[in-house]
Amino acid sequence: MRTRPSWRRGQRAQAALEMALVLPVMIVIVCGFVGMMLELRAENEFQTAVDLSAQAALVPPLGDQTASQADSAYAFLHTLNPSGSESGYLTVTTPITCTGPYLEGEIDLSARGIPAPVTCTAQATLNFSATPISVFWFWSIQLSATADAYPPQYRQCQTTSGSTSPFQC
Amino acid sequence: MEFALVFGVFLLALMAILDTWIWTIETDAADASVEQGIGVAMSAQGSATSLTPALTDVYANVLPLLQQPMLGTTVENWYASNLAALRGEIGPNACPTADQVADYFNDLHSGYDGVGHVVVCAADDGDGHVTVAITGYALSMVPPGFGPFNWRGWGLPISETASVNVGTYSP
Repeated sequence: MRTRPSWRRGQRAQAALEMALVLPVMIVIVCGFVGMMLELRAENEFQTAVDLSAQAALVPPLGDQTASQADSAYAFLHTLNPSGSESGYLTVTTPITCTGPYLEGEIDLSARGIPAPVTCTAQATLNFSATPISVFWFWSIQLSATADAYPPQYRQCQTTSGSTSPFQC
Repeated sequence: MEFALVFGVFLLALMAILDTWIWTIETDAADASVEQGIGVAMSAQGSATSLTPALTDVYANVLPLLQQPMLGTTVENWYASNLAALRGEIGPNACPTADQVADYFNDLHSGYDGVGHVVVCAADDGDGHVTVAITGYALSMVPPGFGPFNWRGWGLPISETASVNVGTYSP
């Protein structure tokens, strides 16, 4: 019976050992990179949703706070699209909240004639535990986004009773 | 032999990293385009007081933002004549999903498995909201039948959507 030369068996064992050493390192590098890209994606999408929410708050006329809050919430939920590409790892922890004199029916002009903005904020958690990327990204990441939207001139005039603005429509 | 093994794993890792990087660039461009498209679509067709969304103006406005980062993927206009059949299927108040776009182009024998096309869609939902979506499959190096995810051969999904209330550019 012929047996495999011992030097060849040794070579194969060495190849297997080196592979066993290299493979985990490669997996960690790939998972780390993919996780970092997905994190940047989620952060960008989250910021876009907050930006659009702030702009949407200015769609209703000056002082219509209920409509402004409803419009910004609609824009946030339908832009973030939790059932889409970020499903499974992005959870909104603090829903969109917008504040600003515009919502109270006031236009506060600065010394340079710029109106006070509507400021919207929201927070979310990024967690990859349900995905293979959790091999490397086993911790959760807190996302926080803030956006300002400035009332355009055609939105700065009085339209509702009780609103205070230096301009008349 | 060990070189072949390690080199194979290295190539696989490199492709995965490159693909993810390209996909991130493409989806970020789609994100920025959707944000710009919403501003164009939500109002101002005809006059500043008009509540009719300017849906057909979105494509021309976002094309300069999208064309280059899409790296070989064709950017299609939802209101172009070559998508009339898909528009008829989806209806006037909605945008297609990435799979609907790929299936449509697959039926037209355009691109492997229908990949390589993204559609810029703007639609009025008929309930006071306007939606802008960029959907389809962008070209990538994912081999056919690879992975348990929502992938097609040589394509990764692009699906960016935004929706806001229709407004006017007047008090």
